[in-house]
Amino acid sequence: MEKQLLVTISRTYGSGGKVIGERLAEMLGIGFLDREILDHMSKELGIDPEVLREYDEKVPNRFMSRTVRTMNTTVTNSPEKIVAEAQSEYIRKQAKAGKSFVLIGRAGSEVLKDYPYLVRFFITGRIENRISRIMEVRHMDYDEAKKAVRRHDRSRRAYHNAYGSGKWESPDNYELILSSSDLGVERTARYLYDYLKLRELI
Amino acid sequence: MAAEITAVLIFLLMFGLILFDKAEHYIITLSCAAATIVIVFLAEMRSTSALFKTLNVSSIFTRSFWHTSVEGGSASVGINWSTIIFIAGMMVMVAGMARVGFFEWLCMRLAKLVNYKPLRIFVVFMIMSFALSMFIDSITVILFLAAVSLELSDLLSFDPVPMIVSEVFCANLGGSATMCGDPPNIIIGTSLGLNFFNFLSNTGVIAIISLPIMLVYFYFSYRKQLSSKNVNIDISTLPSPESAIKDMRGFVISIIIFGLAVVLLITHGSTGLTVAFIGVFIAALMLLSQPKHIHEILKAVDYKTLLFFIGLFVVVGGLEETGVLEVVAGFIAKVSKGNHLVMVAIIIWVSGIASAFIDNIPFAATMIPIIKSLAMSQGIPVATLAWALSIGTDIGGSATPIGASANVVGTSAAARAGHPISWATYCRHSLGATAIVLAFATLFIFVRYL
Repeated sequence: MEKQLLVTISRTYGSGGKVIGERLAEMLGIGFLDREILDHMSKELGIDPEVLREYDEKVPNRFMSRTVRTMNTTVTNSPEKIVAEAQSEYIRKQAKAGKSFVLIGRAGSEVLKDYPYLVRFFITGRIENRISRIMEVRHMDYDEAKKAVRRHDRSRRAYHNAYGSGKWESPDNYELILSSSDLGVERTARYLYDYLKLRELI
Repeated sequence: MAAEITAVLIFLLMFGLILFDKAEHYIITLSCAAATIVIVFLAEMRSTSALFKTLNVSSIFTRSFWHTSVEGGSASVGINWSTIIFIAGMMVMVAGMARVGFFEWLCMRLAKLVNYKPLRIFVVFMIMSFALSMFIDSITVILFLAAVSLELSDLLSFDPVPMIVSEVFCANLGGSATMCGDPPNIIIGTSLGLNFFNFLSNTGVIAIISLPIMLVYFYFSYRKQLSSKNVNIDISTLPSPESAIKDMRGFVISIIIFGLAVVLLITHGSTGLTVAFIGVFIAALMLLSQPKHIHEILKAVDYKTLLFFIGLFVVVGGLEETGVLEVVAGFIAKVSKGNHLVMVAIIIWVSGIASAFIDNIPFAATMIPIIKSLAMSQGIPVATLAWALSIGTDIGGSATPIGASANVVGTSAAARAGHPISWATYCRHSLGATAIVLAFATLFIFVRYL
């Protein structure tokens, strides 16, 4: 691809946002950033990626961490916040280097909001469809899946809202908000691809 | 009654907002200070004298503010300008020392001295952390020490977590030994007319006796974790300590100024120079010695921290002027039934446990009028309660990752380098170490003073 293209996909749990993003990146022939970011980061730091995964896409616990000022900077000891900031830094670095990619979650629409060539999508789905998908993919029963959907949606909302001014579910933050319930993974990815074509970005 | 309730509500609001990090801390304390002035002093108490007493500006223009045999107990009411001016002066000194690479040089020099052996570095860095924190803010000490420890752990293949946790503990312990080591001590000292030597010969003795015990404790706690995986390291490839020095002339001058600051602080009880004077004098020397870098050094002065202190003192002044803190002191006296041993134990352990979870600076500032009131009503020397408060707040802060500012800086540096320290990891040994020192301090104060 000649021009740079940055696509962020925010997603509700069980909507298939990740696989849709993966498929879209494949169709576009560009990079795909998800949990792999932590692999790159841990490689650079020479540590086990599992150490960082524990804090991935989580909001700081207000009772377990603190911020202090020293030498004119504010320092936090929240591992969740430190990992989030390091991920944001990594994402911005990739964008600054001119790379094109599809980014899943990680408050991407906020982290990259000042960059040109940015398209922001939000993928969701009907609650029953999402629960069914989680039951299938994660081998859970209905109640477990329902709880997981609620829990993950809550933590994704909290994460997004903690690291940016825009709200996770606000239509103002996205070019397109789409339900994958009827189209499914493949056709939703194709829809997004066609949209980017219509926008003359590819 | 309305003024008392409002003052308490504003104070609780301030603490809550700080705890929840709702805004920058200086904005929180200044906003609450403004509320205290407008609502408590002007609207409810209708007392401009209480307001001026709390703002305490006139104290700066008195001779005793700059030169006296003691610090003047009147400063305990309202804004403690001695603390603010001293801290600002030390910020300038530390910025000057940091600019020339003093801290990195010292760490690398000591690591080289012990042949880069992890276990030896571990012990030496704990001692250095303790010694530096006696004279320099423990946050700054840990900022540099943690950075070098992480760098060395990378080069020498050892786990940096035990080293950072132990250094933080020793920084807090060293900070408790002197009047200028930890912000609570500066506030306690300037508010109660205690000098550097008073601290050194009281809390200092407790800290110095505790240090070897803690060295042994942490050595045996972390010995296995600290064994180097890769022993075949060519130490000639490691960066030389001298490479850390960015400006040799400035470096030498900085060491001289630091030495002078140490001498002035140790002798200020007999010279009569106040900590405010020493702060201004040392800052002026540092700036004049590096004229080309004045802007750079002044930029490192954290005015937001100074504003945080101003706001905090006004809010605590509101509690003090309305008499709320006397009620708290009365409550402690009632609970302890006038027994001095129980009173000291309450001060140490309540301060210790509270400081393990909340910022110990506002806590100490609030406790000072309480112990003053207790001393007057119960006939116990205020200094005895001051040592209990100092040890309680300084050491109690070591128990958890959020207790003291140095803990936050140390655990933050570790997490940034890919070594997040969980509460369980942090508390596994620090909690025990805190309990040991607090128990020892309680016994020490009982035996020596009561």
